[in-house]
Amino acid sequence: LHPPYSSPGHSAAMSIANLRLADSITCHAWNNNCSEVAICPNNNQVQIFKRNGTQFDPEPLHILDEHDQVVSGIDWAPKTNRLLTSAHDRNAYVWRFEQNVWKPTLVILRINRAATHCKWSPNENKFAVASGAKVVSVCYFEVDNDWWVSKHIKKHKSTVLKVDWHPNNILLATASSDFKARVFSGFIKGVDERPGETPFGSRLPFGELLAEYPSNGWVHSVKWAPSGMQLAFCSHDSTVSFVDVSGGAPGQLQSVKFNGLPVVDILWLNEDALVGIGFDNNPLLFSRNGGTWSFTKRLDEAKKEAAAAGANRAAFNMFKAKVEVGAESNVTNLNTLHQNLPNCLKSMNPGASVREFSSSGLDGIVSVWKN
Amino acid sequence: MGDVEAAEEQFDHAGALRTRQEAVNRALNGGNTKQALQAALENPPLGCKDEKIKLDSLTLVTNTVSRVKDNEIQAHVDQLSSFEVDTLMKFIYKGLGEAQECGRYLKWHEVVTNKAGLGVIVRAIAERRGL
Repeated sequence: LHPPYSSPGHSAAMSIANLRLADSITCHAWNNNCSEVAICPNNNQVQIFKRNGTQFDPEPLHILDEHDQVVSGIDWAPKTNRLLTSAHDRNAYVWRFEQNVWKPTLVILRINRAATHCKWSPNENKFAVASGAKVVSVCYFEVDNDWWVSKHIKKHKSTVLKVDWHPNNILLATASSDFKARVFSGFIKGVDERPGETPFGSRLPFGELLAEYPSNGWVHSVKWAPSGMQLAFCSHDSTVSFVDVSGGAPGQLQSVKFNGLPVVDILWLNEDALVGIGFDNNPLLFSRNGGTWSFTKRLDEAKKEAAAAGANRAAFNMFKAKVEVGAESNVTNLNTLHQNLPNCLKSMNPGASVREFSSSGLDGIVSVWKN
Repeated sequence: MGDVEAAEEQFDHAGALRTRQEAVNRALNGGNTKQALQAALENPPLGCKDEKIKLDSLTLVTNTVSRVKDNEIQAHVDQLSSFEVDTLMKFIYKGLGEAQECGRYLKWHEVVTNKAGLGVIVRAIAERRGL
């Protein structure tokens, strides 16, 4: 653990709890009080681990074994406590916790390619599943038939990588590998009330394309700001873009170029700050000053080398490395917490201002970061 | 969206190239390589269908770059805006691809990477409208 310090206006984030829960983690999700985390350990299972403050229990509490292939998306609904999982086996399950056991209900998505990501809507009466079938399945529960029905949003030219619901439960943003971020209507008659005025108008038939934003690389992730008045997306060309729709669609687009490797997931901390993680294995902070977004700093402070080694030990190590490895240093660890791509960012206290968030990655580490 | 692409198709790349050529040659004749570099990086012919325009644009950059001493490269790169730095990296890769002044371009590559990190390389490679 590194001591936190703050520079005026922007503090570093400290990892207050982290543990390597698996060899590699595809995605994760927290329950509503962040006492349990569900992960996919890069296989067909979902495993739920208990967390107590700064400690994780190293053994899973529950193992959910229903999918046939890698579980690509997990979302845990805070109000109804239902788990949503989507996998490469083209299926999604909605899980309910009853009598101390997680019980799955299959959802027929009607897609013929892998599901890539899934998200409950804010009111938890719908969910969206992104897929490699170039389609987003928006699902709602039909009480008469006692099952989940899916409707398709098409219009994508390639895999849809991520989806994100607007706070109004109707608008849906999508990130796609066809180099575009888009906003659609996910309005379902009978489930949603008429939306009233939104930045994208008030006539929002299901599946209508409301806005499209271009990029030079795959759009890896897209997220609405807590107010729903801004949209951010990150692309594979080492940019994070911000759209301000408070004045109406399509809005003002600002693209922030930064020095590092591309970012694959983002999270809004508040209306003026956003965190991204990606191939630099380091949470990056972007902030808005006077209406302009820019890259601010890396949040994971570089660990200092094991400074305790005295001069003799350092010389010994150097010659040892030269003999054994042919180079002067045999340190193979990265000097960030994450040793491999962190690809999933989740908020741990959703609201207008996020103070704690978590990351999980291909190195199998889940980390809680305190801002 | 469609409008941006349409506007780009109508952009007069040949005319912009002529303007650049005049500006660069004027600057180089006066020995002002910094100004020549900025002029050469203006209005890069991204996505232009005419390969000759792109090669001629590269020639302008190569001519400028070949007149800059090694220990002056840093000063030349420092005066560029972030958009110009991105454009420069795209020209560097094009120059390396056309085998023009490779030794020079590799030195410039190192200086630009030190300044703008791996992100500038990612953006040069990810540029969908080819240079």
